[in-house]
Amino acid sequence: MLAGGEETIVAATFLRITGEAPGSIFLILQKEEAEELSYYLTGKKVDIAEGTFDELAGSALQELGNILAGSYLSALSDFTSINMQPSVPSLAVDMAGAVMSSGLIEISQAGDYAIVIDTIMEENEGNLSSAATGQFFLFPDPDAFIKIFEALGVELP
Amino acid sequence: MKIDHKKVIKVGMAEWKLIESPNTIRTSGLGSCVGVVVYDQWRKKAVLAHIMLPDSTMARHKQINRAKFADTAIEDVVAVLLTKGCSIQNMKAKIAGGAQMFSFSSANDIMKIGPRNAEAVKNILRKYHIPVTAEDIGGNKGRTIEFDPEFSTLHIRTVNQGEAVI
Repeated sequence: MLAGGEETIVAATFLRITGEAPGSIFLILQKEEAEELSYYLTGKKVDIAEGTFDELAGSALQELGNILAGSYLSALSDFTSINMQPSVPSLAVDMAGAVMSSGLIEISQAGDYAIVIDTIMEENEGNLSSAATGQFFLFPDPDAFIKIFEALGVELP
Repeated sequence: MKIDHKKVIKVGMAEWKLIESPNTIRTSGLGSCVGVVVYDQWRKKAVLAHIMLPDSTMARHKQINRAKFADTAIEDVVAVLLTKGCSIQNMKAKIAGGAQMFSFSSANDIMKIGPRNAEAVKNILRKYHIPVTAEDIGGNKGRTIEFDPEFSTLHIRTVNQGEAVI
């Protein structure tokens, strides 16, 4: 099930990747996780399901996505020796299905399958009650698959 | 007394299904995709299509999933309703979706796919002379929709604005 179900409310940070292997990255935080993280960062309790939630909380979540996606991308870039640059992040709080499908549009022009690299983050300090805070989804564009697979030494038929 | 065994038929992304009353049909989490209901209010039959892209010529391969594109999906939807005894004069449509979930300053065509999907769907329906009796398109919100062919009503649920019926 995609990030907990099509209708699950999530806070999604979305970035486009440009460079040699273009694609899309999503950082998906479940509602409670996003609220807890933004409380942790801003000291304000917010309900992200309310349309007009705090601007500062939104900005904090967006920046969090930017930092995490940025370090994720530079690690992947180092590992594969492929040059990748992230775009400015954009945040959306809505149904998981609605936000994630935006990332599948590019891929869906080539075929009916997508490769999803699912990453779970954990933090050791124990400041947050939930062990796993957030999931990354990397959707490489159709042509980028080959580049990434080659760099990882996967043999293609 | 007549007992109705109502079922809710679910339609996934890039799929369409045909139903008739008393069943209802739904699709969840429409973002930039468009949900198109083509229905016949007299025969109480309806098809719901969950369309992802405006035009099948965008496909890079010849082998395509026809339900994914507005042009091919609507062609098939109309064809199946015709085989079920519905006439094109009685067909009507309700549409929802076509949102832009993320906003970017750079003008990227892919990011404007929602409005393009909605536009394509309307153009194709016009080509078949199928009137759009109600619509809820655009914006930046996700939608879950459910159509009831008994009353020709489309229920739309969003995260922030609750439920609406069109």
